[in-house]
Amino acid sequence: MAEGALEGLRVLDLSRGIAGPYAAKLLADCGADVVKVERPGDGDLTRHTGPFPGDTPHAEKSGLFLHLNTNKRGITVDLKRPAGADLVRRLAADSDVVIESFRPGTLDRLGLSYDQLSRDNPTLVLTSLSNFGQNGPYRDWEASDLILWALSSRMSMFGAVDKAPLKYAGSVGQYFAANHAALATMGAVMGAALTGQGQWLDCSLHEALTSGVDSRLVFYEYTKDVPHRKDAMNSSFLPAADGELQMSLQQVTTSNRAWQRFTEMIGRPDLQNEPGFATPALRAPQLAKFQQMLLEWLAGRGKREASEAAQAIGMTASPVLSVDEVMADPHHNARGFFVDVTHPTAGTLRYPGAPFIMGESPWAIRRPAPLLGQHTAEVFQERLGLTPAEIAGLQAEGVI
Amino acid sequence: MLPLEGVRVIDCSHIWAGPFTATLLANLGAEVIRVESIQRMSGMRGSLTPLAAPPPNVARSSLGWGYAENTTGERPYDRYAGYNGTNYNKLSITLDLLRPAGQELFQRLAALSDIVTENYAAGVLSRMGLGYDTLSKINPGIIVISMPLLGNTGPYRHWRGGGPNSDTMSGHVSLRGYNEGETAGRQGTLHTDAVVPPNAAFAAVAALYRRRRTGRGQLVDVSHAEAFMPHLGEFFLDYSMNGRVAKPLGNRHPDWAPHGVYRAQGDDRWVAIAVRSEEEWAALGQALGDPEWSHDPRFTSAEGRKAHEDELDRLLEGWTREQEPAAIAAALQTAGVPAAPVHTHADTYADPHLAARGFFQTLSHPAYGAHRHPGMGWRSSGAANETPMPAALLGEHNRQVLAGLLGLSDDDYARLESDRIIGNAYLPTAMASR
Repeated sequence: MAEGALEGLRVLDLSRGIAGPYAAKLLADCGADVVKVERPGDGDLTRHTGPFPGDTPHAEKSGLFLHLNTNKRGITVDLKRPAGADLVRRLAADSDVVIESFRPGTLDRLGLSYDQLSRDNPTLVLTSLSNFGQNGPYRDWEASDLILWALSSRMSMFGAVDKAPLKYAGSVGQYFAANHAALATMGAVMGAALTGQGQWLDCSLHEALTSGVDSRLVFYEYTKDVPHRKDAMNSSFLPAADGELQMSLQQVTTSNRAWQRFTEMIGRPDLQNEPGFATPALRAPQLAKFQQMLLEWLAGRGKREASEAAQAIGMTASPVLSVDEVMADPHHNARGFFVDVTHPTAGTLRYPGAPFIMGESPWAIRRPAPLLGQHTAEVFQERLGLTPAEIAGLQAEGVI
Repeated sequence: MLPLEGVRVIDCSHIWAGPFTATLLANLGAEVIRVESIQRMSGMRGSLTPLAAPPPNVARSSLGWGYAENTTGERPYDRYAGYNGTNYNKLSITLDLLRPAGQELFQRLAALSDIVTENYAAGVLSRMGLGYDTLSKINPGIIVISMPLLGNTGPYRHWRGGGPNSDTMSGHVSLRGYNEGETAGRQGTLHTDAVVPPNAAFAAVAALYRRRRTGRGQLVDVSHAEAFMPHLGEFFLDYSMNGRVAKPLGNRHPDWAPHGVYRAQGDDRWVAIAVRSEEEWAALGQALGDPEWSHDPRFTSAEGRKAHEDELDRLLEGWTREQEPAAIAAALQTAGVPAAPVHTHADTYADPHLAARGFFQTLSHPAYGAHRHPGMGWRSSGAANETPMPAALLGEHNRQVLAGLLGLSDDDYARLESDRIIGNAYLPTAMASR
């Protein structure tokens, strides 16, 4: 199998939940050697969130955990024990990157601050993800995806005018912030190669969202006007026989060629002879009429077929796909986006695959998410040279 | 010193996702040369010609109007927030890439560069002699980040569209909305446009990392839908495991209640509250002054609160409507309950936490003035945290790059201008070809 782009990069992942682990997954899936550290007993909290097969909770079968932790080896260490923290310190000394998402101040208490870790390893990159950053008035605020969206100001622009502003789906805010943290981490890795000096990255989920999800934020600074949901972009979802699609009729009013092709597509070439539709200036105020013609044509057509027909004549269109339709989509599947991953306990399931396709150093699943503590002995032997007896002793004491 | 110092990027992408990818690389220290053309005004540039006021039915602070101090001046495209907010920290040149003279100059720049960012439709750059096959022969170390809407391969590779289209193709639209079947407020977001830049920039830096070992660059193909779909991973896994097709939940959560956005005092003011545990539920009750309903047996367990969620939301909103959003958030956060006001853009700019964090940076250009821009999503202990350059005017660095970096003679440079291969004002026909 061809090597991944990050072959040779050593990452220690102390993080939990979604944002930290997804940042580490991005590195792992590109070939980095990622060791995930979990708490003995319970492990990462996403082992307990599901979804589960048949809705029966099982710490080795949580869909969210399985997805977020592909390509990582897993060890268990009790960081609250000084001996545990010491083991992690030694692993960090042997790593290029450490990723963590504890509450600000926790690393200090554990004796794992950047000052301490970088003393043993000056090129170390420490990536800390937190909701609001390591300082500031909101530093100790509680947050979930909903809270982060509320503060990002993007949410104020979405939703019905007479109802509450509407967040984006699922936990996409946290995944987005993880993308920023992974980018910052790789930047810092390149920087360490350049200067011989690592750095501490203070990644704030709140700031990632505020800086990155909203191209309209700066408009306020330029105009001093606040955009509102009622002014938000309307994407014109139109009903087809089996669901909805996005389709834009803009070109039909502005371009004669687009108009001709549109009339042919809907089976009304006779409209080309109508003097009242002959020019863009005449057509522009009559958009509602063309919309009605389009709706009548759509009523007898599937959303995918209609989108394909429109795209074939150069119009913008795409079907609104549900989760199952996305997984069955011919385009995504031709590109091999979804991949089968086999896990010793959860079995074989279909997972989202590569967020991008690298030509020479392909993304690949080399191992599924780890069982709790699956690689504890292997990692301590390989990286710290501990003997089986020493490992057994630490396990008996509950340190690992 | 910033991490990507010494790395050079050519950015010939358009609109938002492509250009912001290059901006992220610039913010990490790369030198980014943005290539546009005077023949064709790219999207997110505003108006070609001056306007006295917003066109009818176009609000200020919308995509149709966002000019510095609400004046377009003679060159609106140099004063437009959409462009300047996306394309700061870059050098700006123009080249007519449809003519051999422009293509040849692009190739010469590529010979001196590390990364190209582009989002032309599949095959277009190749037909111009600027595809990866050609560029990698000129420069084996070149990394091309190619970002057409749905990628360069597959039956839909020629599909046209933007953010709303990749949003529909990702499944995200089907997961939004207040309830299943309700279409109100379910606009297509531009979220896939936002997700592409950090993914594509990450891939570029990963390719740089790889190149240190092999000496070779590579082509990276980025579908806007694919960059985002892993963010919906748990929904795909649920379908894979259980055959269940997820439906919209609005602002609600599958397991927790109360969880939503509630009206607060004031015109169109809201507060978000999320209770995720029994501890937080108890804390909420205390913070609200122990109303009787907080002890209602129906609400004692998470299951009970979910089962009676409509009633619970109504009761909670009865309280929130009488309070200011910031006061609610402060009181609830003090008690350990996740809560925050729904911020408008004005609130974000005035946010005391972002001020304390030094989040906003002032970028200033003599042609359009000083404005505060959002910074990056991270602070670094090591790097200089330098203030980025403001967005350049169209073609502002033609001479610096073409005469300076490429060493063109004065005569050659003058001929390029007279032939309109380069320039620093759009031609009057620059909108016609869009």
